[in-house]
Amino acid sequence: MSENYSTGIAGLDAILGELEPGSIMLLTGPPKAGKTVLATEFTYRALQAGNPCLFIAAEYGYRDLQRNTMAFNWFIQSFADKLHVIDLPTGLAGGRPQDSGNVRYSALQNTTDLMVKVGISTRSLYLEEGTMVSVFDSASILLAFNPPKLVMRVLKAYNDRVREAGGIALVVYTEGVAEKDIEDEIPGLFDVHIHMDGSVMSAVRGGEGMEAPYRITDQGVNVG
Amino acid sequence: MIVRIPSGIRGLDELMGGVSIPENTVTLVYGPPKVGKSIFAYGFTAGGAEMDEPCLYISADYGISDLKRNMMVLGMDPESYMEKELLYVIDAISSISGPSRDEGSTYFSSSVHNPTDIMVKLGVAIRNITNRYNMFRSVLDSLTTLMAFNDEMLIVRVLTAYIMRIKEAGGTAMVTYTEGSADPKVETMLKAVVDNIIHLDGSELTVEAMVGTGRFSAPYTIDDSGIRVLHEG
Repeated sequence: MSENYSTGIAGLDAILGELEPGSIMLLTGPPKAGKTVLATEFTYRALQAGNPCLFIAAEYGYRDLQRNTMAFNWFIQSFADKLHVIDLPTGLAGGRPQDSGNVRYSALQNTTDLMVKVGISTRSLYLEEGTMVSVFDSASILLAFNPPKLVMRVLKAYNDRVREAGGIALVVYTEGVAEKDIEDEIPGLFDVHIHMDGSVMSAVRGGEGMEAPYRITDQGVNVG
Repeated sequence: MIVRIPSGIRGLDELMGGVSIPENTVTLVYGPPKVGKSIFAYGFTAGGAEMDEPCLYISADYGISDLKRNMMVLGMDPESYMEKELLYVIDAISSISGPSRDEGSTYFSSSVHNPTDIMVKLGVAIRNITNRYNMFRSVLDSLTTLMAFNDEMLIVRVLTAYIMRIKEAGGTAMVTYTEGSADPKVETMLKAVVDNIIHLDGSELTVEAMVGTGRFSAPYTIDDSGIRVLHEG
Protein backbone atom coordinates (compact mmCIF):
# COMPACT_ATOMS: atom_id res chain seq x y z
CA MET A 1 0.00 0.00 0.00
CA SER A 2 1.85 3.08 -1.16
CA GLU A 3 -0.91 5.62 -0.52
CA ASN A 4 -2.49 6.51 2.78
CA TYR A 5 -5.62 4.58 3.71
CA SER A 6 -9.10 5.69 4.81
CA THR A 7 -11.50 3.15 6.30
CA GLY A 8 -14.54 4.40 4.35
CA ILE A 9 -16.54 4.58 7.60
CA ALA A 10 -17.28 8.31 7.58
CA GLY A 11 -17.41 9.13 11.29
CA LEU A 12 -14.44 6.90 12.06
CA ASP A 13 -12.25 8.54 9.43
CA ALA A 14 -13.11 11.91 11.00
CA ILE A 15 -11.56 10.91 14.35
CA LEU A 16 -8.88 8.65 12.87
CA GLY A 17 -7.52 10.63 9.93
CA GLU A 18 -5.60 8.90 7.14
CA LEU A 19 -3.52 5.85 7.94
CA GLU A 20 -0.03 5.29 6.62
CA PRO A 21 0.81 1.89 5.10
CA GLY A 22 1.83 -0.50 7.86
CA SER A 23 -0.51 1.04 10.46
CA ILE A 24 -1.66 -1.51 13.01
CA MET A 25 -4.78 -0.64 14.99
CA LEU A 26 -6.02 -2.07 18.28
CA LEU A 27 -9.78 -2.02 18.92
CA THR A 28 -10.76 -2.54 22.56
CA GLY A 29 -13.93 -2.34 24.60
CA PRO A 30 -16.18 -4.40 26.87
CA PRO A 31 -18.22 -7.30 25.43
CA LYS A 32 -21.13 -6.33 23.12
CA ALA A 33 -19.97 -2.72 22.61
CA GLY A 34 -20.08 -3.20 18.82
CA LYS A 35 -16.43 -4.11 18.16
CA THR A 36 -17.33 -6.96 15.81
CA VAL A 37 -19.79 -4.76 13.89
CA LEU A 38 -17.02 -2.19 13.37
CA ALA A 39 -14.53 -4.90 12.39
CA THR A 40 -16.90 -6.44 9.82
CA GLU A 41 -17.84 -3.01 8.42
CA PHE A 42 -14.11 -2.17 8.15
CA THR A 43 -13.64 -5.44 6.21
CA TYR A 44 -16.58 -4.82 3.89
CA ARG A 45 -15.58 -1.21 3.12
CA ALA A 46 -12.01 -2.35 2.37
CA LEU A 47 -13.22 -5.05 -0.05
CA GLN A 48 -15.67 -2.62 -1.64
CA ALA A 49 -12.81 -0.20 -2.30
CA GLY A 50 -10.94 -2.99 -4.09
CA ASN A 51 -8.48 -3.94 -1.34
CA PRO A 52 -7.71 -7.58 -0.62
CA CYS A 53 -8.38 -8.63 2.97
CA LEU A 54 -7.15 -11.30 5.35
CA PHE A 55 -9.78 -11.95 8.04
CA ILE A 56 -8.85 -14.06 11.06
CA ALA A 57 -12.09 -15.40 12.52
CA ALA A 58 -11.10 -16.42 16.05
CA GLU A 59 -14.16 -15.87 18.21
CA TYR A 60 -16.66 -17.14 15.62
CA GLY A 61 -16.30 -19.13 12.42
CA TYR A 62 -16.53 -18.25 8.72
CA ARG A 63 -20.26 -19.12 8.67
CA ASP A 64 -20.97 -16.58 11.41
CA LEU A 65 -18.80 -14.02 9.64
CA GLN A 66 -20.95 -14.42 6.52
CA ARG A 67 -24.13 -14.17 8.58
CA ASN A 68 -22.92 -11.16 10.60
CA THR A 69 -22.21 -9.25 7.41
CA MET A 70 -25.42 -10.34 5.67
CA ALA A 71 -27.48 -8.94 8.56
CA PHE A 72 -26.27 -5.51 7.38
CA ASN A 73 -26.66 -6.36 3.67
CA TRP A 74 -22.88 -6.44 3.25
CA PHE A 75 -22.31 -9.33 0.89
CA ILE A 76 -18.68 -10.27 1.38
CA GLN A 77 -19.19 -13.44 -0.72
CA SER A 78 -19.10 -11.33 -3.86
CA PHE A 79 -15.45 -10.56 -3.05
CA ALA A 80 -14.46 -14.22 -2.60
CA ASP A 81 -11.31 -13.86 -4.74
CA LYS A 82 -10.04 -10.96 -2.61
CA LEU A 83 -11.03 -12.27 0.81
CA HIS A 84 -8.73 -14.69 2.61
CA VAL A 85 -10.14 -16.17 5.83
CA ILE A 86 -8.38 -18.12 8.57
CA ASP A 87 -11.09 -19.78 10.65
CA LEU A 88 -9.89 -20.91 14.11
CA PRO A 89 -12.93 -22.19 16.09
CA THR A 90 -14.94 -24.21 13.54
CA GLY A 91 -12.68 -27.24 14.03
CA LEU A 92 -13.99 -27.40 17.62
CA ALA A 93 -17.38 -28.48 16.23
CA GLY A 94 -15.96 -32.00 15.89
CA GLY A 95 -15.84 -32.34 12.12
CA ARG A 96 -12.74 -31.83 10.02
CA PRO A 97 -13.48 -28.75 7.97
CA GLN A 98 -11.61 -28.77 4.66
CA ASP A 99 -9.86 -25.69 3.32
CA SER A 100 -11.67 -24.37 0.29
CA GLY A 101 -10.53 -21.56 -1.95
CA ASN A 102 -9.15 -18.80 0.24
CA VAL A 103 -10.80 -20.11 3.43
CA ARG A 104 -8.31 -21.99 5.59
CA TYR A 105 -8.96 -23.72 8.89
CA SER A 106 -6.62 -23.64 11.84
CA ALA A 107 -7.13 -23.98 15.62
CA LEU A 108 -7.30 -21.65 18.61
CA GLN A 109 -4.71 -23.74 20.48
CA ASN A 110 -2.29 -24.06 17.56
CA THR A 111 -0.73 -20.62 17.19
CA THR A 112 2.24 -22.00 15.22
CA ASP A 113 -0.10 -23.23 12.49
CA LEU A 114 -1.97 -19.92 12.64
CA MET A 115 1.23 -17.95 12.04
CA VAL A 116 2.22 -20.20 9.12
CA LYS A 117 -1.18 -19.52 7.52
CA VAL A 118 -0.92 -15.79 8.24
CA GLY A 119 2.47 -15.85 6.48
CA ILE A 120 1.04 -17.64 3.42
CA SER A 121 -1.87 -15.21 3.10
CA THR A 122 0.03 -11.98 3.70
CA ARG A 123 2.74 -13.02 1.22
CA SER A 124 0.32 -14.06 -1.51
CA LEU A 125 -1.85 -10.95 -1.07
CA TYR A 126 1.22 -8.71 -1.05
CA LEU A 127 2.70 -10.35 -4.16
CA GLU A 128 -0.59 -10.34 -6.09
CA GLU A 129 -1.93 -6.97 -5.08
CA GLY A 130 0.89 -5.02 -3.43
CA THR A 131 -1.54 -3.94 -0.73
CA MET A 132 -3.79 -5.52 1.89
CA VAL A 133 -5.89 -5.00 4.98
CA SER A 134 -6.26 -7.53 7.77
CA VAL A 135 -8.72 -8.01 10.64
CA PHE A 136 -8.25 -10.22 13.71
CA ASP A 137 -11.50 -10.79 15.68
CA SER A 138 -10.67 -11.34 18.40
CA ALA A 139 -7.21 -11.74 19.87
CA SER A 140 -8.63 -11.96 23.42
CA ILE A 141 -10.18 -15.41 22.85
CA LEU A 142 -6.65 -16.77 22.32
CA LEU A 143 -6.06 -16.12 26.04
CA ALA A 144 -8.57 -18.87 26.94
CA PHE A 145 -6.51 -21.38 24.93
CA ASN A 146 -2.89 -20.24 25.31
CA PRO A 147 -0.55 -18.74 27.93
CA PRO A 148 -0.58 -14.89 27.90
CA LYS A 149 3.13 -14.60 26.99
CA LEU A 150 2.55 -16.77 23.92
CA VAL A 151 -0.45 -14.67 22.89
CA MET A 152 1.72 -11.53 23.15
CA ARG A 153 4.34 -13.14 20.87
CA VAL A 154 1.64 -14.12 18.36
CA LEU A 155 0.33 -10.54 18.29
CA LYS A 156 3.85 -9.16 17.76
CA ALA A 157 4.50 -11.65 14.94
CA TYR A 158 1.12 -10.92 13.32
CA ASN A 159 1.75 -7.16 13.44
CA ASP A 160 5.22 -7.66 11.90
CA ARG A 161 3.75 -9.70 9.03
CA VAL A 162 1.18 -7.03 8.22
CA ARG A 163 3.79 -4.24 8.45
CA GLU A 164 6.12 -6.16 6.12
CA ALA A 165 3.29 -6.33 3.59
CA GLY A 166 2.62 -2.60 3.98
CA GLY A 167 -0.90 -3.47 5.11
CA ILE A 168 -3.42 -1.93 7.48
CA ALA A 169 -4.62 -4.13 10.35
CA LEU A 170 -7.40 -3.97 12.92
CA VAL A 171 -7.04 -6.27 15.94
CA VAL A 172 -10.09 -6.66 18.21
CA TYR A 173 -9.55 -7.27 21.92
CA THR A 174 -12.21 -7.61 24.64
CA GLU A 175 -10.90 -5.68 27.63
CA GLY A 176 -10.86 -7.25 31.07
CA VAL A 177 -10.06 -10.87 30.17
CA ALA A 178 -6.39 -10.93 31.25
CA GLU A 179 -4.22 -9.74 34.15
CA LYS A 180 -3.69 -5.99 34.28
CA ASP A 181 0.05 -6.11 33.48
CA ILE A 182 -0.70 -7.98 30.23
CA GLU A 183 -3.50 -5.62 29.25
CA ASP A 184 -1.30 -2.59 30.00
CA GLU A 185 1.37 -3.96 27.69
CA ILE A 186 -0.88 -4.65 24.68
CA PRO A 187 -1.51 -1.08 23.39
CA GLY A 188 2.27 -0.59 23.11
CA LEU A 189 2.31 -3.12 20.25
CA PHE A 190 0.04 -0.94 18.14
CA ASP A 191 0.18 2.38 16.25
CA VAL A 192 -3.43 3.36 16.86
CA HIS A 193 -5.77 2.50 19.75
CA ILE A 194 -9.51 2.68 19.11
CA HIS A 195 -11.81 2.20 22.11
CA MET A 196 -15.57 1.62 22.14
CA ASP A 197 -17.37 1.81 25.49
CA GLY A 198 -20.94 1.32 24.24
CA SER A 199 -21.62 4.99 23.51
CA VAL A 200 -18.32 6.83 22.87
CA MET A 201 -15.60 5.87 20.39
CA SER A 202 -12.10 7.24 20.85
CA ALA A 203 -9.00 6.96 18.68
CA VAL A 204 -5.50 7.62 20.02
CA ARG A 205 -2.38 7.73 17.85
CA GLY A 206 1.00 9.17 18.72
CA GLY A 207 -0.31 10.43 22.04
CA GLU A 208 -3.08 12.50 20.43
CA GLY A 209 -6.69 11.46 20.80
CA MET A 210 -10.11 12.32 19.41
CA GLU A 211 -13.50 10.96 20.32
CA ALA A 212 -17.08 10.95 19.10
CA PRO A 213 -20.38 9.38 20.17
CA TYR A 214 -21.54 6.33 18.23
CA ARG A 215 -24.41 3.92 17.97
CA ILE A 216 -25.05 0.64 16.19
CA THR A 217 -27.89 0.79 13.65
CA ASP A 218 -29.11 -1.63 11.00
CA GLN A 219 -26.75 0.24 8.64
CA GLY A 220 -23.64 -0.47 10.71
CA VAL A 221 -21.70 1.76 13.08
CA ASN A 222 -22.85 5.37 13.06
CA VAL A 223 -20.05 7.57 14.48
CA GLY A 224 -20.52 11.28 15.21
CA MET B 1 -32.79 -10.66 7.64
CA ILE B 2 -32.57 -11.99 11.22
CA VAL B 3 -34.77 -15.07 11.74
CA ARG B 4 -36.15 -15.33 15.26
CA ILE B 5 -37.82 -18.18 17.14
CA PRO B 6 -40.31 -18.14 20.03
CA SER B 7 -38.60 -18.01 23.43
CA GLY B 8 -41.21 -20.08 25.25
CA ILE B 9 -41.31 -17.32 27.89
CA ARG B 10 -44.78 -15.84 28.33
CA GLY B 11 -44.82 -12.14 27.52
CA LEU B 12 -41.29 -11.94 26.10
CA ASP B 13 -42.18 -12.77 22.49
CA GLU B 14 -45.17 -10.39 22.54
CA LEU B 15 -42.89 -7.65 23.85
CA MET B 16 -40.55 -8.20 20.91
CA GLY B 17 -43.20 -8.34 18.22
CA GLY B 18 -44.08 -12.04 18.15
CA VAL B 19 -40.79 -13.92 18.25
CA SER B 20 -37.66 -13.10 20.17
CA ILE B 21 -34.59 -15.35 20.15
CA PRO B 22 -32.40 -15.05 17.01
CA GLU B 23 -32.17 -18.50 15.43
CA ASN B 24 -28.82 -20.33 15.47
CA THR B 25 -27.35 -18.05 18.15
CA VAL B 26 -26.32 -18.60 21.78
CA THR B 27 -27.93 -16.68 24.64
CA LEU B 28 -26.37 -16.26 28.08
CA VAL B 29 -28.97 -16.03 30.86
CA TYR B 30 -27.30 -14.78 34.02
CA GLY B 31 -28.08 -13.20 37.36
CA PRO B 32 -27.82 -13.81 41.12
CA PRO B 33 -28.91 -17.16 42.63
CA LYS B 34 -32.64 -18.03 42.71
CA VAL B 35 -33.94 -15.45 40.26
CA GLY B 36 -35.34 -17.99 37.77
CA LYS B 37 -32.47 -18.75 35.37
CA SER B 38 -33.25 -22.49 35.26
CA ILE B 39 -36.99 -21.73 35.07
CA PHE B 40 -36.20 -19.53 32.05
CA ALA B 41 -34.35 -22.48 30.49
CA TYR B 42 -37.28 -24.85 31.19
CA GLY B 43 -39.60 -22.39 29.41
CA PHE B 44 -37.27 -22.30 26.40
CA THR B 45 -37.15 -26.12 26.37
CA ALA B 46 -40.90 -26.69 26.72
CA GLY B 47 -41.70 -23.87 24.28
CA GLY B 48 -39.74 -25.75 21.63
CA ALA B 49 -41.10 -29.20 22.52
CA GLU B 50 -44.70 -27.95 22.34
CA MET B 51 -44.13 -27.10 18.67
CA ASP B 52 -42.24 -30.35 17.95
CA GLU B 53 -38.80 -28.76 18.09
CA PRO B 54 -36.50 -30.97 20.18
CA CYS B 55 -34.20 -29.74 22.94
CA LEU B 56 -30.85 -31.16 24.01
CA TYR B 57 -30.52 -30.34 27.70
CA ILE B 58 -27.17 -30.58 29.48
CA SER B 59 -28.13 -30.74 33.14
CA ALA B 60 -25.24 -30.04 35.49
CA ASP B 61 -27.26 -28.62 38.40
CA TYR B 62 -30.04 -31.22 38.70
CA GLY B 63 -30.11 -34.95 38.08
CA ILE B 64 -32.77 -36.35 35.78
CA SER B 65 -35.31 -36.94 38.59
CA ASP B 66 -35.02 -33.39 39.92
CA LEU B 67 -35.03 -31.95 36.42
CA LYS B 68 -38.27 -33.79 35.59
CA ARG B 69 -39.85 -32.78 38.90
CA ASN B 70 -38.86 -29.13 38.45
CA MET B 71 -40.47 -29.09 35.01
CA MET B 72 -43.58 -30.98 36.13
CA VAL B 73 -44.18 -28.45 38.92
CA LEU B 74 -44.49 -25.84 36.15
CA GLY B 75 -47.09 -27.93 34.28
CA MET B 76 -44.62 -29.21 31.69
CA ASP B 77 -44.52 -32.87 30.64
CA PRO B 78 -40.86 -33.93 30.41
CA GLU B 79 -41.74 -37.69 30.42
CA SER B 80 -43.77 -37.36 27.28
CA TYR B 81 -41.22 -35.03 25.66
CA MET B 82 -38.55 -37.70 26.21
CA GLU B 83 -40.81 -40.50 24.92
CA LYS B 84 -41.53 -38.51 21.78
CA GLU B 85 -37.81 -37.70 21.41
CA LEU B 86 -38.44 -34.02 21.91
CA LEU B 87 -36.21 -33.84 24.99
CA TYR B 88 -32.70 -35.30 25.12
CA VAL B 89 -30.92 -35.04 28.47
CA ILE B 90 -27.21 -35.29 29.23
CA ASP B 91 -27.29 -35.80 32.99
CA ALA B 92 -23.92 -34.67 34.35
CA ILE B 93 -24.74 -34.89 38.05
CA SER B 94 -26.63 -38.12 38.96
CA SER B 95 -23.51 -40.24 38.43
CA ILE B 96 -21.84 -38.40 41.32
CA SER B 97 -24.40 -39.52 43.89
CA GLY B 98 -25.03 -43.10 42.80
CA PRO B 99 -24.85 -45.75 40.10
CA SER B 100 -25.72 -44.36 36.70
CA ARG B 101 -29.01 -45.24 35.08
CA ASP B 102 -29.37 -47.02 31.79
CA GLU B 103 -28.76 -44.79 28.84
CA GLY B 104 -31.31 -44.71 26.06
CA SER B 105 -31.87 -42.74 22.89
CA THR B 106 -32.84 -39.63 24.87
CA TYR B 107 -30.93 -40.09 28.13
CA PHE B 108 -27.15 -39.88 28.48
CA SER B 109 -25.20 -40.13 31.70
CA SER B 110 -22.03 -38.10 32.10
CA SER B 111 -20.17 -36.28 34.85
CA VAL B 112 -19.42 -32.67 35.79
CA HIS B 113 -15.91 -33.95 36.59
CA ASN B 114 -15.40 -34.94 32.97
CA PRO B 115 -16.15 -32.17 30.45
CA THR B 116 -14.50 -34.23 27.68
CA ASP B 117 -17.09 -36.97 28.21
CA ILE B 118 -19.88 -34.37 28.21
CA MET B 119 -18.63 -33.18 24.80
CA VAL B 120 -18.53 -36.77 23.48
CA LYS B 121 -22.13 -37.36 24.62
CA LEU B 122 -23.07 -34.01 23.11
CA GLY B 123 -21.71 -35.17 19.74
CA VAL B 124 -23.75 -38.40 19.91
CA ALA B 125 -26.94 -36.61 20.98
CA ILE B 126 -26.57 -33.97 18.24
CA ARG B 127 -26.20 -36.75 15.64
CA ASN B 128 -29.36 -38.46 16.96
CA ILE B 129 -31.27 -35.18 16.78
CA THR B 130 -30.05 -33.93 13.41
CA ASN B 131 -30.87 -37.33 11.84
CA ARG B 132 -34.52 -36.51 12.48
CA TYR B 133 -34.81 -32.74 12.75
CA ASN B 134 -33.51 -29.67 10.94
CA MET B 135 -33.98 -27.35 13.89
CA PHE B 136 -33.31 -27.91 17.55
CA ARG B 137 -32.68 -26.11 20.81
CA SER B 138 -30.09 -26.75 23.44
CA VAL B 139 -29.62 -25.71 27.06
CA LEU B 140 -26.50 -25.82 29.23
CA ASP B 141 -27.61 -25.41 32.86
CA SER B 142 -25.35 -24.30 34.39
CA LEU B 143 -21.83 -23.11 33.62
CA THR B 144 -21.48 -22.25 37.31
CA THR B 145 -21.57 -25.90 38.36
CA LEU B 146 -19.12 -26.95 35.64
CA MET B 147 -16.76 -24.21 36.87
CA ALA B 148 -17.07 -25.38 40.46
CA PHE B 149 -15.73 -28.79 39.43
CA ASN B 150 -13.11 -27.70 36.86
CA ASP B 151 -10.62 -24.99 36.00
CA GLU B 152 -12.67 -21.93 34.98
CA MET B 153 -10.69 -21.26 31.77
CA LEU B 154 -11.17 -24.92 30.79
CA ILE B 155 -14.92 -24.28 30.96
CA VAL B 156 -14.53 -21.22 28.68
CA ARG B 157 -12.87 -23.57 26.18
CA VAL B 158 -15.62 -26.17 26.66
CA LEU B 159 -18.23 -23.44 26.15
CA THR B 160 -16.51 -22.31 22.94
CA ALA B 161 -16.56 -25.90 21.66
CA TYR B 162 -20.22 -26.31 22.75
CA ILE B 163 -21.17 -23.12 20.88
CA MET B 164 -19.39 -24.23 17.70
CA ARG B 165 -21.01 -27.68 17.82
CA ILE B 166 -24.53 -26.38 18.34
CA LYS B 167 -24.19 -23.68 15.69
CA GLU B 168 -22.62 -25.94 13.07
CA ALA B 169 -25.51 -28.39 13.58
CA GLY B 170 -28.08 -25.59 13.13
CA GLY B 171 -29.22 -25.36 16.76
CA THR B 172 -30.14 -22.43 19.00
CA ALA B 173 -28.71 -22.52 22.52
CA MET B 174 -29.16 -21.02 25.97
CA VAL B 175 -26.57 -21.20 28.76
CA THR B 176 -27.11 -20.20 32.38
CA TYR B 177 -24.57 -18.72 34.77
CA THR B 178 -24.72 -17.36 38.33
CA GLU B 179 -23.42 -13.80 38.32
CA GLY B 180 -20.26 -13.29 40.35
CA SER B 181 -19.50 -16.99 40.80
CA ALA B 182 -16.34 -16.92 38.65
CA ASP B 183 -13.33 -14.64 38.30
CA PRO B 184 -14.40 -11.33 36.64
CA LYS B 185 -11.95 -12.03 33.77
CA VAL B 186 -13.72 -15.33 33.08
CA GLU B 187 -17.14 -13.67 33.32
CA THR B 188 -16.04 -11.09 30.71
CA MET B 189 -14.84 -13.90 28.46
CA LEU B 190 -18.24 -15.65 28.78
CA LYS B 191 -20.03 -12.48 27.72
CA ALA B 192 -17.68 -12.11 24.76
CA VAL B 193 -18.21 -15.60 23.30
CA VAL B 194 -22.04 -15.66 23.42
CA ASP B 195 -24.25 -13.77 20.96
CA ASN B 196 -27.03 -12.55 23.25
CA ILE B 197 -27.11 -11.66 26.95
CA ILE B 198 -30.20 -11.66 29.18
CA HIS B 199 -29.92 -10.59 32.83
CA LEU B 200 -32.46 -11.56 35.49
CA ASP B 201 -32.41 -9.84 38.89
CA GLY B 202 -35.51 -11.32 40.53
CA SER B 203 -37.94 -8.66 39.36
CA GLU B 204 -36.58 -7.22 36.14
CA LEU B 205 -35.44 -8.90 32.93
CA THR B 206 -32.87 -6.94 30.91
CA VAL B 207 -31.86 -7.83 27.38
CA GLU B 208 -28.31 -6.46 27.65
CA ALA B 209 -27.35 -7.50 24.15
CA MET B 210 -29.16 -9.31 21.37
CA VAL B 211 -28.43 -9.63 17.68
CA GLY B 212 -30.43 -6.91 15.89
CA THR B 213 -32.05 -5.48 19.04
CA GLY B 214 -31.23 -2.60 21.36
CA ARG B 215 -30.98 -2.94 25.13
CA PHE B 216 -34.28 -2.96 27.04
CA SER B 217 -35.77 -4.02 30.38
CA ALA B 218 -39.15 -5.29 31.51
CA PRO B 219 -40.48 -6.50 34.87
CA TYR B 220 -41.19 -10.21 35.34
CA THR B 221 -42.78 -12.53 37.85
CA ILE B 222 -42.58 -16.26 38.47
CA ASP B 223 -45.87 -18.09 38.93
CA ASP B 224 -46.91 -21.76 38.83
CA SER B 225 -46.37 -21.89 35.05
CA GLY B 226 -42.92 -20.30 35.01
CA ILE B 227 -41.65 -16.88 34.05
CA ARG B 228 -44.05 -14.22 32.85
CA VAL B 229 -42.68 -10.99 31.42
CA LEU B 230 -44.99 -8.07 32.10
CA HIS B 231 -45.57 -5.05 29.96
CA GLU B 232 -47.66 -1.96 30.18
CA GLY B 233 -51.10 -1.75 28.57
